[in-house]
Amino acid sequence: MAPVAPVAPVRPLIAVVDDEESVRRALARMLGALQFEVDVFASGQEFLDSLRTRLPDCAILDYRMQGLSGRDVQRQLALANIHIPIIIVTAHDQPALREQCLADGVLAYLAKPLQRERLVGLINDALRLRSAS
Amino acid sequence: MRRASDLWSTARPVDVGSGFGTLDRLLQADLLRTLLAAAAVALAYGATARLGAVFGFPGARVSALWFPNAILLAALLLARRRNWWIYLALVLGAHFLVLTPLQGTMARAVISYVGNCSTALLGALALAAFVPGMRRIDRLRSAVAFILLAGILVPAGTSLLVAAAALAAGLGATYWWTVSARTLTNAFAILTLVPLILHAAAWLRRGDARIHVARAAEAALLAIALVTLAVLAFVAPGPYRAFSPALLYAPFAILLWGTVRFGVPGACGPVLLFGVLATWGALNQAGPFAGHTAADNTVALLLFLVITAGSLLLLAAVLEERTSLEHGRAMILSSLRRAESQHRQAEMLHSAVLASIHDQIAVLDQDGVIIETNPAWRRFVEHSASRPFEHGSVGEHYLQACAAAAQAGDAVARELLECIRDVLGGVSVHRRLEFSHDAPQGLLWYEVSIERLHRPEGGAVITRSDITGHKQAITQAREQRQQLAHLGRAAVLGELSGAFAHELAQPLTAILGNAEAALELLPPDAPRLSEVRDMLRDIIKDDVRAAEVIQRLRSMLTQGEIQRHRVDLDQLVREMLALARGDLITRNISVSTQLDSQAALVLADPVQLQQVLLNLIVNAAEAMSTTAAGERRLTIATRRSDAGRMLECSVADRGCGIPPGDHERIFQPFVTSKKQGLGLGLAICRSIIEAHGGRLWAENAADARGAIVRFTVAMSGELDGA
Repeated sequence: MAPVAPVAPVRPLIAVVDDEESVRRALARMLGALQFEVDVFASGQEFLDSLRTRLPDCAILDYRMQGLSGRDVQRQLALANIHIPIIIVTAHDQPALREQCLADGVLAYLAKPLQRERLVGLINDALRLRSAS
Repeated sequence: MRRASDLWSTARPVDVGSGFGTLDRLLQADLLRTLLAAAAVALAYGATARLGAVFGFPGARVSALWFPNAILLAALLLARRRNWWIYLALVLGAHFLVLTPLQGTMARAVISYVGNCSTALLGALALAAFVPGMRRIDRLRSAVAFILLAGILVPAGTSLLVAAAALAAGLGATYWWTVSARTLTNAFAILTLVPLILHAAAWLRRGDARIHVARAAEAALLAIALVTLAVLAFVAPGPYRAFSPALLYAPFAILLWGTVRFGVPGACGPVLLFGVLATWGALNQAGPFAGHTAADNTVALLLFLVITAGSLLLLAAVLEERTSLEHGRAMILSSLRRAESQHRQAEMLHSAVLASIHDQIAVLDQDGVIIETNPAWRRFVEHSASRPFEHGSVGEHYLQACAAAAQAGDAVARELLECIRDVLGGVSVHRRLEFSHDAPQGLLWYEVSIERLHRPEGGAVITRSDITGHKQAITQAREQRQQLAHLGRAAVLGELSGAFAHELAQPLTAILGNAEAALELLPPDAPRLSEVRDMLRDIIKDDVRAAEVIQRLRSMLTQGEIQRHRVDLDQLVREMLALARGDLITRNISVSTQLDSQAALVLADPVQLQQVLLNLIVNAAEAMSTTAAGERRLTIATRRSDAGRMLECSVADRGCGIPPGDHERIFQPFVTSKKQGLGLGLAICRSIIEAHGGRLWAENAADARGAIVRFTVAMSGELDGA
């Protein structure tokens, strides 16, 4: 299980949006250990508000949160024409939800708990997409 | 309207309670009526006295036709005794007014007044003593009493005294002739006129005093024939003088005709008419009674007339009595026949009612013998009965049959025997039991009810009802309930697992993330930390293994269990409301629906959707437990939404709404406001709806009265033909 390092020379910025603090903190630690720069947000609104100051290279959004859901955030970004690769994560995996999220144009949909290889692989995909555009 | 008969009676009911003014008026009216009646009697008395003077015996001071005494007697018989003096007083006036000029001396007038009045008074008293309450002469007893007392004895007695008084006063010479002439002339008048007046008064009193044309014509014909024959035989025989004795019998046919056809009035009227004409003839020396002096002839004729009148009166009374008896017998026969017909109709109704009852009925007497069965019982006995207690026909000892079957070990028969004994013995008025019957078409169930027969001698009514359908329905309902409970348990278990999966996934995510980070942060070449590295790797490996278990659970729940069908959501709402109806009624909740999905179908697992609907209905009902009873209303609406791609269903209550900020929290597992309950209902509902690709959320009503829970489900099509 070899650690996968980020491909970009500067540390890419990853936004983690989850209303559960322990998850938020653990994901920030894990990604930080892998040399990513991590911003954490406790709600979708907090995350949207932060976009005025800086844009992340990739956002990991919990689907079910108090207030705006991960999907609501993704929709608002699409409406505001802000293109950030989005990875939706959920503890309540449903095939129908997966279909809907992918149809909405998110980069990926992952069921919790998140496995490191799969997550880092998807983040790298996102970063490649960013640099390509 | 006052009837003429009232003139004779002063027996008026007097309303004492209505005041003295009214009482006085009534008394005056009563007195006036009596005075009028007495005046009429006095007038008739005077008129007939004047007539009597015309029919005086030649050479004697006795009238051959003397009606005043008869009229006075009839009046006294009809009047109340306490008013008699009024009649006698007024008659006194008439008597002296009419007779004093005719009779010359005052002494004669006094004697004749006393004689006349005593004849009437004694006759009335004698009749009142021997035939009390006599209103008509229509019985043999009353006729005999009337003829003997009023007709013969009283006139004879008074005549003896009158003749003696006249003799003493030097007013008469022929004592015995006067006695017999006066007796006969009074007897004739009394025997003919008094019954006529009494019957006329009774006829008028009867109220339906109608005259039939045919009867009147017959009476007129009778009168004409009688007058013709009487004139020919007694008044002016002319060329038939030679047949004179034979002509005596000529009117008899007519008299019998009258008696047979018209009763007492038909006997007395014609005899009176005939008598008047015959007397006229005899006084003028014509007719069969012409052998001696006119006076003797007339006495002989009067004797003949008295005998005739008496005989015919007796005959008429006997005939009327027989007619009355026959009438009574006919009435009894007719009422007997009517009673018989009513009895027959009651019997027919009884049979018809028994025949139209589908239940099997047998009636037992107090000893337990069958006395009646209905066709349904007989059909069962004939075609289906197998066990002894299922049999039984009229005359059989049902109780003994049950006892024998119970002895042989039939448990149902033993129970039935005990029930029937209880009811027959008065221990209880009603018992019931059930038994099954093996029929070719399957097992049939019967309920036997034993009711006390409500009559003095007792008995019991056994009713066997087929309750197979009822039993099947109960079994079916029980099975359905079990099935539903099982489904509910399965669904809760499944969703519980789903909720657990979610709740476990979050901490596992955190554990995994932390372990990964720790592993990443450990220096790669620190030998003392290799043990820690292995531990972290184990943590990661076990966390991943747990994640795989959760994933398997999820895929099993989401794909393996859900059976999706095209479902009519409106129909489902109606079904669930019907299921919850009893609960809603108990809670005083009124229901209104606005099902407006326009017959669209959703693709869903109907059982899971039922689960959601039922859960939301019960939640809404419980939310209104503190709402005023009249305010509790549950509103369920459906409509198309999201540009026609989704169906939205809303369940609105009138409770106190959702506290601010709790709109999402209430969907978290184990969050509940109820004392009993896991707080999984809404979480499960949301996961079911999300599994169907829809959303479920809650909001407060716009008017802040209650909460609304809405969910959407994707449409799959429309009902055929909708």
